[in-house]
Amino acid sequence: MGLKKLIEKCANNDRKAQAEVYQLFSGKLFALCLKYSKNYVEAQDNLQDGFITIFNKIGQYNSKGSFEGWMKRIVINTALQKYRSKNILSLVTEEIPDEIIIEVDEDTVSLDFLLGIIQELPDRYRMVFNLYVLDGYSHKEISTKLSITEGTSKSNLSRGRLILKEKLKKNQFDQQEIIALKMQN
Amino acid sequence: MKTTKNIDRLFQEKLKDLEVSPPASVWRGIESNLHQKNSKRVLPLWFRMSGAAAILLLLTLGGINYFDKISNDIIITDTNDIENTPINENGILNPAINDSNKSNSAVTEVNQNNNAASETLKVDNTQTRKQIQFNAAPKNSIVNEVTTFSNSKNDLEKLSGTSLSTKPTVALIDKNKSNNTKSISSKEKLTQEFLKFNKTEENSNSEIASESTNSDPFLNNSILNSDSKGNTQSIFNTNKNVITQSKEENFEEKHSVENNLDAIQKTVLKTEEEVAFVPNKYDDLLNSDMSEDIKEEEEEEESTKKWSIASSIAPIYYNTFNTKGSPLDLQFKDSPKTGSKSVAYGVKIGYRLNDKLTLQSGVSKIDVGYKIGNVFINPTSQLEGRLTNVNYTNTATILNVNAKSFIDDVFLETNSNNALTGELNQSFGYIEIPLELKYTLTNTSKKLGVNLIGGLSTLLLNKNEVFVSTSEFSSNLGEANNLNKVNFSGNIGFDIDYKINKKIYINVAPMLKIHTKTFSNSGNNFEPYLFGVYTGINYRF
Repeated sequence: MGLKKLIEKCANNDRKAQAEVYQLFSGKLFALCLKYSKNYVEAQDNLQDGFITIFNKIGQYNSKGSFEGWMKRIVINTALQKYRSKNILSLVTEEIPDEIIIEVDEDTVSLDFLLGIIQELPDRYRMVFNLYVLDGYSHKEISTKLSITEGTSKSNLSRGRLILKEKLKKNQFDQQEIIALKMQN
Repeated sequence: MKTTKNIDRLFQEKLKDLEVSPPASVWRGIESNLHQKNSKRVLPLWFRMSGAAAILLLLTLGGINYFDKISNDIIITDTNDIENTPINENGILNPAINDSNKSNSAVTEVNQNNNAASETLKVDNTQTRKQIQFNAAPKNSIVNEVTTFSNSKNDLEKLSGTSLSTKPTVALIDKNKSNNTKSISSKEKLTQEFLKFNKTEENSNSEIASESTNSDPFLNNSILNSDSKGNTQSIFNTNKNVITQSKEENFEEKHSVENNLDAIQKTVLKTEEEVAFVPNKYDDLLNSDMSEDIKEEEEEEESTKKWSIASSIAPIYYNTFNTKGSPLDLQFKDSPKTGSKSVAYGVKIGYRLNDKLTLQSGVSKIDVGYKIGNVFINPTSQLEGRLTNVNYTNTATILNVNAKSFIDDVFLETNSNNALTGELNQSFGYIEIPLELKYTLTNTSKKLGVNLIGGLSTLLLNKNEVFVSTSEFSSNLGEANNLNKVNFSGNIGFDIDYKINKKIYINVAPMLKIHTKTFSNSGNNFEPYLFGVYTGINYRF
């Protein structure tokens, strides 16, 4: 069955078609939720709310754009929604370099660890880092999405990067210690 | 092995194609939420179908009347009197009596349901006693109303009329209006509004009972009852919420009132806490800056609009396929005949079944007729030589009308000395109720659309005249006695529409309508057709 047909059926509330769409895309979208949420449970909630919105609005999807992209936007918006009202972080203008280089041994860095440190980021830093680095939004788009200034978006990104770098460094150090310990034994 | 890397690239590469399967509980959550939504849609759907059912009912009744007519006509032609035959009246009266019997039984069912409903309310301790009393009172009055309906002759039509007007969604909107005013007004006023809602709900109850003679009445009623109960409860809950929240969250509340309909539908059957939570959540979702999505929403909005209403006006041309056809009298078969041109006007409603098919109906008024040229009009006192299929009025008795050729053959020229040459006009009019299916050939998103139309019309005779006109005078002869009160036409045509904006479009539809059963006898082979170019301004909603 073609995707277009499947979408049409979903629009007519065909439960089988909805299940099929869920099967096809839940993996990717759950990964997306994990990146944007602070923990596994919250990611689950976001995925559920996101899919409910998707199925309720699927009749409004026009077949011009990519369906996956359309769903991603909805899921991201669902995740962002929870943080829009909470303006906890104030703007601090600091000179932080745009690019942060780090020395890592990629083989020792697990996916779980990377996901984990993203989730541990303060909410706004996590949102900005995800939107800018992983999903290709510009600072301008982020500023409208999160109701912040472009400057804030940039500074949040840099601070997020710094935190990630510190955690990666520590992890590398720990890894080395573990290896050293193993060598001793 | 250690490498130096931009931190962004590290994350991008590692997380790019990440897929994680979510736990099964997520799908269950989605499913139950969607299921809830589905069950809420049962009612509006049912009401839409009741609209279609009402149209069908109307057509069937028309058809029954028509067939009654045929059998009556056999007797009537002997007496030459259409309007005042008692047999005819009986024919119409009998089904009416049956109908009122039916709805009487329906009323008793409503009674039972009311009792059941008020009993459940009594059991439910969350409602105060006062409210139960309030609930009981209007229900009784409504039962009275229903009984008076059934006593009247046109009860069925009235009841089906209410089915179109009192949709529960309307009631819900009313209710939300009351939410607005409520924040200012006292609790007493609240209960009044509450009563109003109950009343409308009850109305729809009664109308369901009346229409459910075909299907299982208990099934329908129980669906509605449970729903109305859920509704009233949720209203109560939301009312409570508003009272407590109105001070602090006035603004938010306003918002949720705007989004009331969906939100309220969602809240039905939920507990009080959930009721408070869900509208806010829904509100948030709607407020989110999904700018692209909103655009898409606007684009796609037109496809979610199923109904359209249109004014329609058409120049029409009426004539016969067979020029020898001569319904008034066989003697005119060789006389020259001219079809009539006139204007039809009316309203049209359309319901979109899917992207390609639209069902349309409506009401329009048409005047048709034709002229027979070259006739002799003689003042006479004789009764012989009258036209076969005309009932003469008293004033017309002194006129004798004959086809010229007929005169030449039968009478000597001397007889026609004081005869005038003129025209014989037959003119009649109908109320037309079409039922047509429109098939769209072009893409619906295009500005210009081309459609094919095919269908049937029921035509109800509302004007019937025969008159003569000469250069000197014109005079009414009477009316044709062989025109059927109800007849039909087969319709086929094109429809070209142009969309001005999302809501409004204009259309032009050249249509050919072939009439059948126009005459109770053969009409002397008069095979009428109608060609019209129907133009309209359509409004989608």
